[in-house]
Amino acid sequence: MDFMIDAVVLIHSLGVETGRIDEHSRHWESARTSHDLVEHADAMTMSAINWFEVLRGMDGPQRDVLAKWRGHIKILPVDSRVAARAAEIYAAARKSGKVCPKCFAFQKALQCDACGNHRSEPQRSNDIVMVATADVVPEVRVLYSWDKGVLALGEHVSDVEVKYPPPPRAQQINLDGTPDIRSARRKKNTGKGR
Amino acid sequence: MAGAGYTAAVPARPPKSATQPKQVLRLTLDVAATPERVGQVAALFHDTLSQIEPDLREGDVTMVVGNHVASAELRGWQGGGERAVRLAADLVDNATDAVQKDERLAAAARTLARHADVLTPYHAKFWRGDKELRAIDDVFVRTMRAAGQSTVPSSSGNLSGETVTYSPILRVGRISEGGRVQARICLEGRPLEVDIVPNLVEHIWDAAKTGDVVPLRVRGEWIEGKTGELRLDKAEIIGVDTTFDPWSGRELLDDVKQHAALFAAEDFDRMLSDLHPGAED
Repeated sequence: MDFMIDAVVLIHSLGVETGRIDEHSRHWESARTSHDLVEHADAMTMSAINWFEVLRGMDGPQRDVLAKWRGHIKILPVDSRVAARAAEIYAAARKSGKVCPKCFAFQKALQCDACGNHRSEPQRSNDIVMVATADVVPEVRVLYSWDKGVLALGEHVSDVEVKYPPPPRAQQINLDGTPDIRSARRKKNTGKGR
Repeated sequence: MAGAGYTAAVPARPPKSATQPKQVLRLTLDVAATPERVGQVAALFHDTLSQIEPDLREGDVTMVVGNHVASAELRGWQGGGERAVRLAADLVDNATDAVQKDERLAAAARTLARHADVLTPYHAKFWRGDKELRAIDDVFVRTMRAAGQSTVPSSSGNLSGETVTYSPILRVGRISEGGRVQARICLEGRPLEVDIVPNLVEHIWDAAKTGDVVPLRVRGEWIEGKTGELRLDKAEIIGVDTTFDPWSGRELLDDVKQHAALFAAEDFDRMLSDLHPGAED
């Protein structure tokens, strides 16, 4: 058990694998990177809080497909030790001055492009619990996330590295030696990188 | 008041050696000075200063009370008194910064929040000399409370509870004649002998034979190690799922691919939007 992924990484992977997130999507760059990470993983590890985040967005039949995965992926529990560690991380983040003393929003958290608000209190709490889970389980060395707020939380933990998923391992090449169309489009859109 | 090292006098008498206080923090209320309100203001100053500087000497800080409209002026004359009034004014002015610079001010911020809460109806304002610092309103009280909670809580003290851990069963047996059957598992990165509830012994034997990683429900007590890490002690296996079969990422993706028709592009937009209200890429 070397790494843990957040919910977005898994959802990206599902989107790419089902063909519902393609090169026309604004999520494409990060999604194909997430997909590559999951595709090459020997086993999958998630926090129970992220598993909830994945399932809550699905309707009945979709949820049924993923429900059986519970017997095939490692879902790390939110136990009293995780709760204690999460409280420490929350306090440390507040003390760092990177949190607004009034609304407690992390200054590096993403801002909604529609309403301008930062992430909701429950969502931030989920992030802290996820980071705390990764920090207290010794086997987890890396937590992969796309969220800048989560990466900022990584500054307050010492036993896990919190970072973006690594770039895809190899560029796809067609049999005739030309770059795969997806690779070509990716190259064209480099200005849109994370 | 004298016990805290400053005097509530009307008017206060400064030390003979000084003619002007070095630090002044004033609080004005937009109401008449009743004994009750003067008492509230005096308590606010007294308790806050006691948190900042518990060892103030008599005369280090004095307080002047106005009786036309309610007001009180805290004067720091020398040494600890000057410092205490300065820190109190810093705390009022920018609680987050002040607590970051000096963690001990967190307790003073909590005290200030508690006293300020009852003064919010009076349009009270803090002044540093002639400069207005902050009005006492709901935002001020919340800010002080938040600053007061900014210290990192200690995880000391034992935590009892249950958890789920993934491990192979390395061996099963008794350590001593007549002792309890125990399992050796890999817990938190190290091999550990743990007890098993009696009705699970057979299942644990089966799991040990396969050598597979299985989810184990474990009950125990977390104790704090020398470097602050929490380790599970007095652990006992109270549940095991022998049907667990870890899949690779590719196997999981193959499974969802078979059900691709159930998913629409909008589903992923919605799920990602729920998690990331902004664009992450």
